Amino acid sequence: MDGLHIGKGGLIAVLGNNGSGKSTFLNVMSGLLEFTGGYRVNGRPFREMAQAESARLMGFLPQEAALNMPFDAFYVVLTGRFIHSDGRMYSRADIARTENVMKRFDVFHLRDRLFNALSGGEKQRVLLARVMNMDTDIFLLDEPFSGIDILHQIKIVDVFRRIRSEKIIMVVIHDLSFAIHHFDRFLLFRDGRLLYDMKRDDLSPEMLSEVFGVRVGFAEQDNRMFVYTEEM
Amino acid sequence: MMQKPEHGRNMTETGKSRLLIKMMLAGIIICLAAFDGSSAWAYKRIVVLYPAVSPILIELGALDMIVGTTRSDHAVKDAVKVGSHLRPNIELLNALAPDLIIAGSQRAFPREMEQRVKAADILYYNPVTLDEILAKIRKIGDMLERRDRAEKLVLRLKKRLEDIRPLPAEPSVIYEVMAEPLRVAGEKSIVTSIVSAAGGRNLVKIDRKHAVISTEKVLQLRPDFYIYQVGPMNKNPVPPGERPFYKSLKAEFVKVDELEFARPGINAFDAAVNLNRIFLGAGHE
Amino acid sequence: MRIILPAALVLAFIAAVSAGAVKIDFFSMSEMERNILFDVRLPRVVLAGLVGAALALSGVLFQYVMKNPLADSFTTGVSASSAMGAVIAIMLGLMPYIPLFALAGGIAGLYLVYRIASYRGRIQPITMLLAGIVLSTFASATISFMKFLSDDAVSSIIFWLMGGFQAATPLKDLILFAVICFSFLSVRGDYLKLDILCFDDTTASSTGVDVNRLRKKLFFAAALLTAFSVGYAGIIGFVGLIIPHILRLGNLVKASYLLPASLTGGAAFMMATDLVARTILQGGQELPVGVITSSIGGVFFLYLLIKRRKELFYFN
Repeated sequence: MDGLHIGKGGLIAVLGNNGSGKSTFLNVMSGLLEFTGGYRVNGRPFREMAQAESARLMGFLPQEAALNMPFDAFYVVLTGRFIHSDGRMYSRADIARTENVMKRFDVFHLRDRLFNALSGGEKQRVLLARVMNMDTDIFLLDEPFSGIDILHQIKIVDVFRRIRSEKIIMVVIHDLSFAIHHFDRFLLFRDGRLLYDMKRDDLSPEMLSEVFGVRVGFAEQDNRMFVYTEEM
Repeated sequence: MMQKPEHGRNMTETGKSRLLIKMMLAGIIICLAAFDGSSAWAYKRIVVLYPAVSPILIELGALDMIVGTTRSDHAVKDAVKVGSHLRPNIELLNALAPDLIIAGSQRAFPREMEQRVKAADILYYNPVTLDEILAKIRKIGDMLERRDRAEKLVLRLKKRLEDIRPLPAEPSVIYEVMAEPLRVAGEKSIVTSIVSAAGGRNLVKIDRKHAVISTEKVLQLRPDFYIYQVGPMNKNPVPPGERPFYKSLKAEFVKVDELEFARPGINAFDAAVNLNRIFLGAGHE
Repeated sequence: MRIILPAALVLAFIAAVSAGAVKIDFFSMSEMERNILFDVRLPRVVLAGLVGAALALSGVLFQYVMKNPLADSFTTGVSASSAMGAVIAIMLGLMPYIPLFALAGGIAGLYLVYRIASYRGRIQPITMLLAGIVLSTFASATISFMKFLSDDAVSSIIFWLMGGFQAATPLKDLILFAVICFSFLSVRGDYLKLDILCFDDTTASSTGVDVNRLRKKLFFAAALLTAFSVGYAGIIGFVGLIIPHILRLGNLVKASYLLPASLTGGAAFMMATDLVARTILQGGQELPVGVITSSIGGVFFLYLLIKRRKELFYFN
């Protein structure tokens, strides 16, 4: 995937079948996996950055997260502010921001509940709020919508769209219709390689068919694009 | 070191034949025992599981009756080592075919073990005073039909105590068995008897052999003599005078040999005499 | 909790100083009473408190390193290998050097576990736990073997291992205090990181925490605390496990509360249990303090477990 360049603005969907390299791509980007080659962030080689520095640039939501301490949801979201804190205490501003983010992602009412006592979808929303609370320029989100109900998926994607102009938001997603409707740019992975890097308007059913190994068709209705799929 | 294989085999074979001879001997003795039902039975094959007993047996001229001892018994050279006093090897014990086993206490060698060692009687040797040692010597003399020699030994030991000279005042004593954690000799220790024979008195009035006591208590009891033993139980302790918590202790610190003082055997009588010398301010540093 | 713990510490200290084998009349102390108080009792109470604080703190740190609430100086093998070092010293008759041997044993054990558990420069908590348990078992076996070899010294080894604060001196107090200060200060700036370490490694490192470096540091600090505690007071079980648990069940889950609280809680608990150990019997006799920690601590812990099952369920 030489020469991939990603600038600010726009929601980027990372698509591909299981094992096609999407998560690996995100993990490498965030510096959690060893990799060969190199890339630059803001013109600086990524390899030269320390953990704390890269965390200040990129917020990463892994596919699965675990917590083995009975923290409440508020504190879980607050820990996203770590890179902005002095390392010893969270400031008043951190707390105010956390409240704000929680409200935006509709998890403020869960603030006093134990994180581990929440439902799967609630946990996912809290974790997403936590990553967004890092307030980085780049967000790498590995399947943030898994387990989240449609209402909240739409609320979340609305938040993304509102902030997309100053950020890079890369999202691994499986719902093609949802992706095509809300996202601007598409990175299509297959067999561990980046096959296509397309704007929405350039996407074709043939490309998607090639990437997913199923027959993909587009249908337009009420000025909206729908994607249907069937076995090849 | 490597051994040549045939050499090794030879070794085990001699070992085996020795064992065979022993087992045959055992069989013969058991047969004899079955025939001889008279009361004039004297014990002939003794296993000593309590090292303090061996010197007594030697004094009674019964060294060659000792067929087995523990690993730590250095008084008897030729006997088979049957393991530790707490865990003797039952197979070895049986192979030795003893008719008498002398053990320290029920705890070390429970009665039930008797059933596992055929045809052997058990004598528990656990005297806590000098008089009881003498009584035990007589008892062993009885059992081995060596009453005269036993009586002679008892007389000699009693005579030994005559060397003890009267003291102007009765010195008070604390006897340290182990430094860390601090264990001291209680009323059921032979030490208490040795101390009083020597003219002193053990300040620790606790009805046990050893007691773990607070160092505070030591300061409160204010002993004239703080005796600390050095030996297997108390290897190389920090001299009490150098321990910060004893800074204010005005006692005379005396170092003694554990094997001499803490074992209830013939040695205890010498210990009493030596201690008396120490109390007198003679023979010590 | 913020008031309870310091209050408990002060109360435990006062109780521990005022009672003992010898009754002291504090209002008109005799020469002897003064000596007992300053030469014996105070150093001992302080040592008990310090060992309690060190063990509880090391337990908390090990639990962060291993991400496992069952981790403590036992499960990591540091305790047993320190004890092995101490037993070697006893065997060789080098009593004054017991703390040194314990420290050497502890550090050797730490290094071994660390080497086994690190793969490509990263510590694997589960491997570490397993390695620790294996090391513990091995060290215990070695201790048993040494007991077997030195038949006569068996009881001295057993009693030493049971632990206690009898041999307390102001110098030991001072050294242990310095060790605790060093360990505590070296992790005090990492409260927020410690909390983040409770997440999975991916989340933690993408949040900006150098997980591996932090683990190494915590592990070293905890092992240092354990080795010194074992060297000065033998093996005292359970404190590193139950004190942090009790505190967490009392809702002190954030590191900024949990760490200072484990110091005060551990100190108060140990001073109180040592007080019981040295006053429960007549005539100045003492019980091994480990007996008391395990029984009192165990019962109290069981009560909490039953009462607060729900919180514990959500621990993981």
